[in-house]
Amino acid sequence: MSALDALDAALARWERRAAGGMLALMGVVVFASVVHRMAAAGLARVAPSVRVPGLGMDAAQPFALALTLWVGMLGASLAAHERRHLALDIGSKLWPAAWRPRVAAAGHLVTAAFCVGILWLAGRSVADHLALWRDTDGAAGTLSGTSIPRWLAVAAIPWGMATLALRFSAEAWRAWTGRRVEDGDDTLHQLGIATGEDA
Amino acid sequence: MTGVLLLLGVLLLGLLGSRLFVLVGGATAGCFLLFTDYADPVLQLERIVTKMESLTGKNVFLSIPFFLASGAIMTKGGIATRLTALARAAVGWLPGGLAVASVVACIVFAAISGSSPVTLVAVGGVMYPALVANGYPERFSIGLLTSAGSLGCMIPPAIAMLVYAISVQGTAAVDPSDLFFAGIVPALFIAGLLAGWAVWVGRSVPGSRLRFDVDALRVALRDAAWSLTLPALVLGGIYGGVFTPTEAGAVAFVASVLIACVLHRDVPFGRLPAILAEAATLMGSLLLIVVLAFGLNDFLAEIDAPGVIRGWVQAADLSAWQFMLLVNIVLIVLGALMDSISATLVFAPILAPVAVHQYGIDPIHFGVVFVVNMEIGYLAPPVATNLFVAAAIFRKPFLEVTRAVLPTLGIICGALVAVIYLPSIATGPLNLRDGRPFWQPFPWDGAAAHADAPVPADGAAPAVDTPAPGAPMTLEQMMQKAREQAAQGAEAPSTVPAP
Repeated sequence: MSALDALDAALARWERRAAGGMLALMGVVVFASVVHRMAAAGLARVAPSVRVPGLGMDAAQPFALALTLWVGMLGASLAAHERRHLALDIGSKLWPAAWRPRVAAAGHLVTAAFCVGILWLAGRSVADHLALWRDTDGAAGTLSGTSIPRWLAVAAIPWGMATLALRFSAEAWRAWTGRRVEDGDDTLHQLGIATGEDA
Repeated sequence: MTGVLLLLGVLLLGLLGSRLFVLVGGATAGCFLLFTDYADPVLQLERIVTKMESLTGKNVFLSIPFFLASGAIMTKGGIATRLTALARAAVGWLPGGLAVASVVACIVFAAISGSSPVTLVAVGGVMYPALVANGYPERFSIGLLTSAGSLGCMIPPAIAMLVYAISVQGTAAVDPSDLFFAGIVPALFIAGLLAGWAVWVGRSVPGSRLRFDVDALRVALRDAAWSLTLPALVLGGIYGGVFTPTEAGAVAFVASVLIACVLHRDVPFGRLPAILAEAATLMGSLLLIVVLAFGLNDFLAEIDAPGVIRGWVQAADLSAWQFMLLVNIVLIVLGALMDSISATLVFAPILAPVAVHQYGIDPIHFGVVFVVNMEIGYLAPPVATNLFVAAAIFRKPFLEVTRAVLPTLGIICGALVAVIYLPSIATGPLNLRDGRPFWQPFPWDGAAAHADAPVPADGAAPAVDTPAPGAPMTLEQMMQKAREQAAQGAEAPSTVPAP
């Protein structure tokens, strides 16, 4: 395993833990808000004078949505690591077999360049959100109805785009050097479906 | 000319094997740069990122990762085996019983997994060898399972319906819980037709009927009982007014952990992190396409694409039935050429406002018709997800699988025609629930009734009177409420009151 592959695998391990943990946290937080609301409604029926503390549950869904963006971008990065992003494989099949490694490399490079472009735009946007939040001492630049800084939520986009750009650049290198060429026949793999043999 | 250049650029990206999200994002960036008149191109492109960030305000989207995670947890256990055993015990005694059981198993499994390809793999993997071993023709077995597997995009909680609800705003906005409700009868209708086909073929297959065994049914029911509680909990909770579709996702997530890890003990707790990471990866590959398509929708709204289409259909003097026929032909072709999620994100926001405003089509009805088209898209080559999956799991050439689905594809297309021109199949139960007459005729004279109505300038709906206190809301008033909430970026309202 090359240093590049080792780095890639280490990053993927961290991303799996982070994405899985965040997804679990999202589920627990939103579920807790449902239970809290039902408990409050039940209590209001039997003891209308008792006031149930809010426990910040109003912020459960905005918080979970912020995490959704992070889980999604971490997942997108993992999907690049596992070659799970959908592609129209018909296009790559049209080229002569000898050309395919070069064509695949070019395709990955274009993808990496696209990610760099979005990374730059998203970086500017995060900087703007951060400046607004800082300049107003946190009074503005927060997610609707919460005190969660917006920049923290949307920082997922440049993070994800940076790792995607790195991964697709590495993939281009692998394709160019002939270490990996997609056979264009891996629909089940792209859909994340394991059949009996490879489960 | 610029349009041709853009098309060639996207084609080149496709030829290079670029990922789908690059195609969508590249097309969006190209549209903003080539067809809008801003002085600063960076500001134009920043709108793509702004739209990506807008995800943090779309509550309905939150249910997608939850349902994906719930489906992933449940399908890692032995649920497919439990459900197919139950279906065999319950309906296997019918003529063509085993094939009918396959359809039933697909419906129930789809309600739990929410995914068409996963349903096909899980149920197909168990039922295909059984069907063939019992004398059913291979081609029939492949066609039936592949088609029944595609019902996943119609059975609530269906990701395809959630994506539709997210993508249409303004005049055509729909409440996802209403869309779920309206999708149930069309899904059962299609499943019934497929089951009828199974019975018809099964008559000539000796040994296609299983012996009815009460004890086997009892055991199968006991084994599958907890799995069956999940869809009941989700749908019962939504329609009982206990929680919203978004919250239902979180409830399904926690319930699936409880069922798979504690009650069935199919999935050890130690495997959960890996399963959740798997769900996150699946969501990641979906999310990029979705958020980049938001930018494309923004562009299409800016150039008033629905208005352009409206102009075309007015110029062509199409009646409502002709319009729907044309739309469905276009959607089937698009579904064959694009993946269903991308097609929904790009074309639903263009076509739905025209159908609703110009022709008076019920937005829920149009949503259901759109999703049935996407179901057909899963089966229509060349970009047919379920055909690729079927070819891989049944180890048959793509062409053979394509030939195998032709009869069932014909059945589903026939069902689509019925769903289009008999709106009550979709909206009838919803009407009954809301105290309106079941029967809702197709607006045959929709063009005459709506062509002269003023077109809202910014996607906002015309004002509708608010209902008197205690009085039931009219369809228009409910739509108005949905539009207002959609405009605020909030989750579309549930038509049932919160407790």
